[in-house]
Amino acid sequence: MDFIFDLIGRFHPLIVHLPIGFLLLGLMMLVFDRKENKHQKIICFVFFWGTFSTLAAVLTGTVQYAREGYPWEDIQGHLFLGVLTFILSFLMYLKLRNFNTFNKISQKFVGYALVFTLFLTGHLGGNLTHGKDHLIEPLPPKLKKILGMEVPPKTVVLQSENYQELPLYSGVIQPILDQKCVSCHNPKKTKGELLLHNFKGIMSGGEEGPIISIVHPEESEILKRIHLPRDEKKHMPPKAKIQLTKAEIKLIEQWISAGVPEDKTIADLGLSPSLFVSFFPKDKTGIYPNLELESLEKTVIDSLMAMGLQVAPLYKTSPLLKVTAINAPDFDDQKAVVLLKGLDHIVDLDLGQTQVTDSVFGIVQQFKHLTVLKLNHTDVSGNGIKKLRSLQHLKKINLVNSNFESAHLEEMYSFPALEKVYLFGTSANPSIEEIPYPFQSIFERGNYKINEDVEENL
Amino acid sequence: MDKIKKLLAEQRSLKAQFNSRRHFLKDCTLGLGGLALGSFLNSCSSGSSKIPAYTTDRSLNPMAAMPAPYLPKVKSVIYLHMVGAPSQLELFDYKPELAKLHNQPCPPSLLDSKKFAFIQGTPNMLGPQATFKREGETGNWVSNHLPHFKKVIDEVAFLKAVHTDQFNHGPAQMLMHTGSPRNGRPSIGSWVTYGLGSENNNLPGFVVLTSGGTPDAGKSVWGSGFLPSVYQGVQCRSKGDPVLYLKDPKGVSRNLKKKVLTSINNINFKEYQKFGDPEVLTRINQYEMAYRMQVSVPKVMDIDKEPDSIKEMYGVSPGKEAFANNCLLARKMVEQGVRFVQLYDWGWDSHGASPSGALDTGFVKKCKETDRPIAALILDLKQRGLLDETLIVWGGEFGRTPMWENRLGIQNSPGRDHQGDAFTMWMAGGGIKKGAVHGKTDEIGYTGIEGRVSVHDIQATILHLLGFDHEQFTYEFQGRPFRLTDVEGHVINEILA
Repeated sequence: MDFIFDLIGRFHPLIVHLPIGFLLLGLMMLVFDRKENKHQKIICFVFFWGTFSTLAAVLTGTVQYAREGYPWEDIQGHLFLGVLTFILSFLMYLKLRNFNTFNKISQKFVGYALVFTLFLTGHLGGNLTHGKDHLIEPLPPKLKKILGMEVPPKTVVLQSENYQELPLYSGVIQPILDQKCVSCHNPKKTKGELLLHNFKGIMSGGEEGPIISIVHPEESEILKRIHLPRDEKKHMPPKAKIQLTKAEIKLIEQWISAGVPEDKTIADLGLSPSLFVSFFPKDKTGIYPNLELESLEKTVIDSLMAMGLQVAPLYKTSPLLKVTAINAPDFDDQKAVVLLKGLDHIVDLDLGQTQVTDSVFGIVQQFKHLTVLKLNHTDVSGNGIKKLRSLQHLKKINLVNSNFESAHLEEMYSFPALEKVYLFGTSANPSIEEIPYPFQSIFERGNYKINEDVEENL
Repeated sequence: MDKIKKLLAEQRSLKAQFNSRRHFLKDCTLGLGGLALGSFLNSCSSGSSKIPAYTTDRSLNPMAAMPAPYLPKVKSVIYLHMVGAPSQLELFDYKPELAKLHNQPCPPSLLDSKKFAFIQGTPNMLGPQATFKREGETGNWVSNHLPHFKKVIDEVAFLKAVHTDQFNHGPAQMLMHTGSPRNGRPSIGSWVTYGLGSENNNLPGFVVLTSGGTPDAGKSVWGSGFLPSVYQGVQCRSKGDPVLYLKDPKGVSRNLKKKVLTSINNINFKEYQKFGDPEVLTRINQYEMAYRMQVSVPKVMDIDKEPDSIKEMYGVSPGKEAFANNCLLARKMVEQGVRFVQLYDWGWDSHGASPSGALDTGFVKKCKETDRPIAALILDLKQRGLLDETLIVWGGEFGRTPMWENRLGIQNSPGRDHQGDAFTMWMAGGGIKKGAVHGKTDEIGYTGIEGRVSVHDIQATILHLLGFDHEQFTYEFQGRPFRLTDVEGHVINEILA
C-alpha cells in the first residue's frame, strides 16, 4: 500500500496552487473590505479553506519529500516557509473569527507577513521543480551581466596526465551534452521527444527518428542539426543558447564515426591528443604567478610611460605588468624609484642596457611578485643581490654582459624559486665544479664554441 | 545597413590613401630616405607638435606596442626561409629504402595525376645523396651535410610531414608567408607587427634580411597587403648602407633635417586630423622612424663591434652579403626588441640542371654556408637568455621529390624536382617541445603518412606562440574579416611544450 503515499506525495504540486489562490483572494478581499467591513463572514470562509488547503499542501509536501529523496539543504527553506504560511493563515483565520489570540500581533502585520511567505514559499517551490536558474535563464546575457547574475559557461575540463583513461562517451561526450543539450532534452522537459541525458536516450532518437546513423556517420541527424547555420530554425543548440565549441563538435563527430562506442576509452580509440587540448585547464599566466589583482590605474601606467618605459600587461586582460626600459637607455637608479608605483603588478622587469647600478637591488627587492629580472649590459656587480632572496617568484635573472662578480654567485643559492641565471659575458665564469650540484643547471654560463675541426670531416 | 556603412567607410579610406600617395609623389620630392623626425624631439622642442612623445593610441602611433590577447610564449620570431626549397631527403628525412631504389625507374603509380614543375616521362629514383646519423640525446636524424647542427638538435622540434598545395616557387612562397598563393594578403610579419606593434621605438618592428638574392615571389612576401603599409617589412642590407637612402645628403645637418621634418609632420598631422586617412599616419611614422633609424640602424647593423669570439662562432664575413652575417644581425635585432626578423637565403633550388643547383655541389655549399650560422644563432640566443622568448622557424616553400629530375628527358647531376606533398621544417625556442618529432613520411619520403601539417597549421602555431588565436585575429577588408590562415589552420600542439 506504499504506493498510496507516493501518490499522495505527487499531488503536492497540484494542491499547492489551492492555498496560493485562496489566501491571495482572501488577502485581496481584506484590502477591498478594509473600510466598510461588510464581508467579514465570507472572508472568514475564504481563510478557512485557505488554511485547510495550506495544511494539505504542507502534509503532501512532507510526504513527497520523505518519499522522493530531495536533499534536505534544497528543501528546508521551502518546508519551513510552508509551515510558517500555514501558521500565519491559521492565525489570520482566528483573528477574523475574533478569537483574541496573540493580540500583540496586529491583523495588518499578519496580512503582510502572509503575502511575503506565500510568494517566497511559492518561489522556492518553483525553483525545486524548474531549477534555480528558471527565471534568470531567459534573460538576455547583457542584462544578466548588469544584474551580476552571469553564470560562467561551464566547460568540460580534462587533465592532460590521465584523460586517455577516460571512456570517450561517459568521460567527455555525455558531460558535453549535459552542459549544452540536456536542459531541453531530459525526462522532465523533452523537446522533440528526444532524450540526451543518457546513452539509451541518445540511441533511441526523437520524434523524427534516430539521431545517429552508424552506417553513414556524417549524415547523422544530430550532426546535421549542429552544422546548420545558426540562424536556421532547426539549428541546435537553438540560436539563443550557449553553442557547442568547435572542439566539442569535433569530438562528437569522432565519437559517432567511431561507431558510438559506450565504454571504449580515449586510448582504446587512439584519438589524437590535439582533439583534447582545448579541454585541458588553461595555463593563463605561464611562469608568472596567477594573481587576482585590480589593474593598475591608467594614470599610473601613463606616468611610467612618460619616463620612456614600455609598460604593458602580460596579455590583454591581465593585471600583471611587464616593464622594459629598452627605449630609455639613460634610465638610472634614481629614476627607478618611479617603478615602485607598480609594486604589486610588475612581474617582468627589463632594465637591460640602462645606467642602473647595484643600488637598484634595494628597489627591486620590493617587487614581491617579480618573476623575470633583466640587468644585462649594465654596471651591476651583484653587490646587494642577496636582497632579492625574499622574492618568492623570482625565476629568471639575466646578467649577460654586466659587471657581475663571481663573489656574489653563492648569494643566489638561497633564492627560493630561481630557475635560470644568465652569466654569459660576465667575469663570473665559474667552472661547473665550483657550483654545488643542485644549482648547476640554474647557472647558464654560455661561451659556446663551434669547433673548426668539424668542417674538416666533411 | 551596417555592412553598407562599413563598405562606404572603407571606400573613403581607400580613396584617401590613393589621393595621399599622389599628393606625396607630386609635392614631397625631398626623397624618402633621409626624411624623418624623432618623436623624442618633443621632449626638447617647443612642444608645438601635436603628436605626443609616447602613446599607446594606435590612431596616433600605429606601431605602439600592444599586449597579445593571450599570454605569449615568445616575444620575437626569427624566420629562416631557405629560398628555393631545400631537399628534406638530404638533410633530415632519412630514407634507407630510397637508397635501395637508386637509379631504378620510377613506377608509374607514383607519377599518375601528379603535377611536376620539370619531371617528364619516367624519371629514375634518386637515393639520398648524404649519410645520416642519429645525434643528440634525442637521437634524431641529421645528415652529414650539417655537421654543426647536431649541437643544437636537442633544442629543435621537427615537422617531418609538412605539405603545401603549390608546386612553383613564387606561389608557394606567397602561401608560406601570406597564407594565400596569390598577391594581396599581408605577410605573417605584417600581421604580427599589426597585432603587437614594436617595442623598440627606434627600430622597425619587422625587418627583412636577404642573402644570395630576392625570393622568387618578390618583395610581396614581406608586404603588408591590405594592412596599413606601416606594417610592411623593412629590408636591411648587410653589405654597404644597411638601409638604402638613409644617409643625409651632403650639406644637410641633422639639425636642419629635424626642423624640416617637424614642419612636414605638423602639416601632415593637420591633414590627418582633417581626413582621418591612416596612410598619413604611416607617412608621419615612416619619417620619424627613418630619422631615428639614421642613428639606431647603423649601430645595430654594425657587426664589426661584436667580439671576435662571436664573429668566429657565426663565421661572419663582414662587409659582404652573407647568411652568417644575417644570423648575427637577427640576434642583435631580437636583442633590441625587434618583433619579427625574416631571413631569406636564396639558392636552394637543387634541380641538378647546373652545378650550383646540384645536390653534390651547390647544395653542399649552401649547407656549409648555413649550418654553422644556424647552430651559432641558437646557441648565442641560448647563452643570452633570449632563446626562451624567441621562436626560430626554419623551412623552405616546399620539398623535393625522391625522383631524379630529368629535365628534357636528360638526367643531369643529381637533383630533385619540386614536391609539395611532404617536406621537413623545424622550430626551436620558447614554447617549443625540445627534441620533438611530429609527422612521418612513407618509405621514400614522397608523402606524409602520419602527422601531416599544412602551411596554415604552421602559421596558426606561430601566431599561437605569440599569444594570438589565429581564428580571432582578423582584419576587416572588402566587407568581411580576413585572417592569416583564411578558413584553415590548426595549432600543432604536438610540438608545443
